[in-house]
Amino acid sequence: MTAQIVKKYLDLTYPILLSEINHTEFGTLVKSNLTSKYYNNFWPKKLLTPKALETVKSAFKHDKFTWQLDLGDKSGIDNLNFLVASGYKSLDTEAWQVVNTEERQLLSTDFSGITDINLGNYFKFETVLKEFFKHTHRPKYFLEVCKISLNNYSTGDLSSIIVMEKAGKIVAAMGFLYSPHKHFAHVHFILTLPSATETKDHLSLLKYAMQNSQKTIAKELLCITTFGSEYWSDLAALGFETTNIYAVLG
Amino acid sequence: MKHKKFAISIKGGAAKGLGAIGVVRLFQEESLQPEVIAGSSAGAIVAAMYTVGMKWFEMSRFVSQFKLLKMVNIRSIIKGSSVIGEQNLREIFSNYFDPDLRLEDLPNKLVIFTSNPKTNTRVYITKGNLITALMASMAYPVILPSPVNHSGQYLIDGDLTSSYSTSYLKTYGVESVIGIRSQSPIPNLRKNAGYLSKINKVYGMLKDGIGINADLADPCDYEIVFNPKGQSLLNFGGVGDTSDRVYAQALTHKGDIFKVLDVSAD
Repeated sequence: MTAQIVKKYLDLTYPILLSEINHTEFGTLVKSNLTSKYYNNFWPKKLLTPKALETVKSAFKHDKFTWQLDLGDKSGIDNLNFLVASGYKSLDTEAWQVVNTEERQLLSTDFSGITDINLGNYFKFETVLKEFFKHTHRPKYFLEVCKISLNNYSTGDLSSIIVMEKAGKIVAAMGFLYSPHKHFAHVHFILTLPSATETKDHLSLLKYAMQNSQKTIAKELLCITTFGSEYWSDLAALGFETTNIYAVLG
Repeated sequence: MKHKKFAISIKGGAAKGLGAIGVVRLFQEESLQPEVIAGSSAGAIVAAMYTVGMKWFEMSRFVSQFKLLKMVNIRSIIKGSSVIGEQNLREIFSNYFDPDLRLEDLPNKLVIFTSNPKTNTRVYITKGNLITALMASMAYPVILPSPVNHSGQYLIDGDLTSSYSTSYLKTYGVESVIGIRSQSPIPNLRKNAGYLSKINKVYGMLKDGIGINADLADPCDYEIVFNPKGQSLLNFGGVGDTSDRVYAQALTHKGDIFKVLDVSAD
C-alpha cells in the first residue's frame, strides 16, 4: 500500500519538478532544481551500508541532498540509526495522509473566497508567493514551474492552483496535481501567510481540493503534513488516514 | 503522447454550447495539446478558458456563476441597449480573467471568431484585450451588449458567420482541425412562444444555414457533434452535469480522434 502511494507520488509530482530520477539497487534518486526541502532526495529501499552511502554521495556529487526514510518498517529505523551515526541530522518528520475521495460524500462547504488560478489571474498567486519567499528571494523558478504546469497537458497530469482571499487580501495558496489515468491526486504545496488562520484555512483549502478530486474521479488524495496531532485529528475527521511517517534527514 | 499538430475550433450555443467543456476534458485527460484553440460565442469562452489553463472542473465552476437574473440590467433595457448589462458581464469575466489580459500575451495561440455586420464577414481576433474580444464574439443582438468595439471595428456574435474556419486555422501550421459543436435541432416556432424565444429561434435557423454552407466549403478534419440533451440555453448552473454527459459522448470519439491525430506513445 505505502509503496504504491510513494510510486504514484513520484510519478505525479516529479515529472514537473525534477531534472532527473534514477531507480538504483539502493533506492530511488530524485534530483530537482526546485528550491525546497525535497530538492535532491534519496529514498532508500533497503538497509543502507557504508558502500551505499558513498554511492549516493557520489551520485549527488557536490549537491546537498536529503534522505527520506520510511519509519514504518524495520529497515527505516535501522537506516535512521545508521545515518544519524554517520552525522546526518533530522530535518523534519512528515506524515503521509491519504483520503479515499470516492467513498466521501460531496462536501457542501461554502468556498467563497477561494479562487482557481489560471494564466488570466496568475498575479493573485504571484502576490502570495512573493510575500511567502520575501526573505529567501527564490520565487522566480517556482513561479515559472507552476505557470508552465498550469497549461501543460503533455505529461498526462493536470495541475491546479487555488488561492484564498480574506477581506480583499490573498492569504494562502495551494497547488494540487491530478493524474487522470492513475486516479490519484496530490496536494503539492500549501503556502499560508501570517494573516491566515493557519489550521482553519488549510482545512478549507483541503476540502476544496477534495471536492475537485471528487469531480475528477481521483480515488485517492495525498496530503503530506508536518503538523501536530491536533491538525491530524481534523484531517482524520475529513477521512484522511496516515499511511506512514517519514523522517527527512540532511 | 506524440501527435500531429492540431487546432480545436468550438462553435457556440449559449449554455448548450458550453457543454463542449466535456470534450475539452477528453483532450486534457488524454494529454492531447492543441497548438491553436479557437471559438465563437460560447465556444470562444471555452476556448479562452482552455488557453489560460483552466481544467474542465474549473471551467464548469466558472460558468455556473453566470446567473442570468444577476446579469439583467434594467437601465440597459430601458435605454434599449441590451437585456444583459455590459458592466455586469465584464465583472463576471473579471473574476477569472485579468481585465488587462491580452490575447498576444497568452503562451498558446487563441483565436476568437466574431462577425463584422457591415462587411458581412468573419473577423479573427488574435490580439487585444481578452475580455473585450470575448464580449465581441458573443455579442448576440438584443440579449447581450452589441455591437462591441474591438480595435476600431464594431463587431457582433461570431456564430453569425458560423464556421470552423479550417483554412484560416491551418495558416498557423497545424495539420488537423477538430471541430466541436452542439447538436442544433430545427427549432419548433410556436405561435405563443415568448419574443426572446422567437428571436433566438429565427436567429438560430439563420446562423445554422450560414454555418452548414461555410463548413461544406471548408470542412474540418474531424467533427465532434454532441447532444446537450436536457440543457436549456440559459441555465448555466446545469452546465457541469451537461458536460459530464458530453464527456461520455466524447469518449466514443476517442479512437477516431487518435487516428486523425496519429497519436502514439512517446
